[in-house]
Amino acid sequence: MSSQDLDKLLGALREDTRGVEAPRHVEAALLTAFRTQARAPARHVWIPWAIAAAAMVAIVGGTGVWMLDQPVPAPPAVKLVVAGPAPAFATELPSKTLAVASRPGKRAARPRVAPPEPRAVPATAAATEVATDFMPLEDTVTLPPIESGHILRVQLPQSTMMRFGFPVNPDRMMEPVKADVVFGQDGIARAVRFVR
Amino acid sequence: MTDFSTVADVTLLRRMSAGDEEAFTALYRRRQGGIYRFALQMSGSETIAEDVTQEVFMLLIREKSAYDSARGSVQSFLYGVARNHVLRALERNRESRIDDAVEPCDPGGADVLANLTREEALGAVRQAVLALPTHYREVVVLCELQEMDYASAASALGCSVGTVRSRLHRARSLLTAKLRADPARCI
Repeated sequence: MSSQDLDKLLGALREDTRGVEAPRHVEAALLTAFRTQARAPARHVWIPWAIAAAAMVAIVGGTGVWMLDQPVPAPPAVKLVVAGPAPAFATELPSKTLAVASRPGKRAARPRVAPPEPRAVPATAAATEVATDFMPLEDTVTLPPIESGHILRVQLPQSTMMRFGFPVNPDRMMEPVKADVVFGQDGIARAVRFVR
Repeated sequence: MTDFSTVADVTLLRRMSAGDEEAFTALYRRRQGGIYRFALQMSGSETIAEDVTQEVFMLLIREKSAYDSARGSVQSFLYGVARNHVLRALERNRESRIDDAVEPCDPGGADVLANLTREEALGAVRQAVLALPTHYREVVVLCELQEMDYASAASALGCSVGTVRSRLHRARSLLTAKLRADPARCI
């Protein structure tokens, strides 16, 4: 085989894949992440809050709630559930979850972080994951009900969790956290749940 | 919607860092195809390609100052990030079989035999590229399949132009030898 033959073969392969692009739902997921990030307050805004939180911790002599590695109180408004394999799609999103996962005063163990897995195996990985309930996105409540759609696993900055009332270590706000985003039949993100 | 077709990548990046969603969308649409194809041709996996594309642009969203213009173009930076994610994914999947390898499509059409022959030849080239050692594969994908110039490829790979040139020369020799072993391959 000559160099020209190889050029011809590589050229054919190049032409064969020329129009190949990432699936549309990748763009939708990224736009959701971009909007979330754009709405999140700038990091420096939270520095005074971090200082205040640290001072409060010192005063009450409690544990360092700012350390995400330590056990933290369960979020008051969201119930933690073990994520099942590939959740069946509900035709109606759950309304705001009000159940409290644990009794007052009792610390919930921090959900274990599942080891990194290829995206191809979310169903098996889900067995070791802990997830919140799905929480509707506030700017989608006026949209028509979901009739069909899909769930996409993405990574969002931890600062996103603050919008839903979760405590976040200010030093880790930019670190990623896994999330499942529900997209409706119109391609618009409707709800999100956080996964560890 | 603003027409961003003539706006430079670096300007789009600056505007998206300031919260301009249209600029982000324009930059994504301009660059996602190349990034996705690079990851697909490097890994042979649509799942990895999809994940890598998402991770590359998530980095732009998360780390607004990740790009340093002194170190090359935005395009080279994006390919460099994609390359790191691809290598990580390949490492993770080294011992696990990838089940979503790209399958040749049904040729159909009037000249079925010619299409089958073409698909077979393309499959052989694809497999030959995937069988190359990673550092040879990436120069073939960037320079031959993505038609990137040597300087940009060198910037994306973090090596010299001379290294790109010599790796490409060696990679082509390996490909020729592999495809020569099966002389029936022709387009």
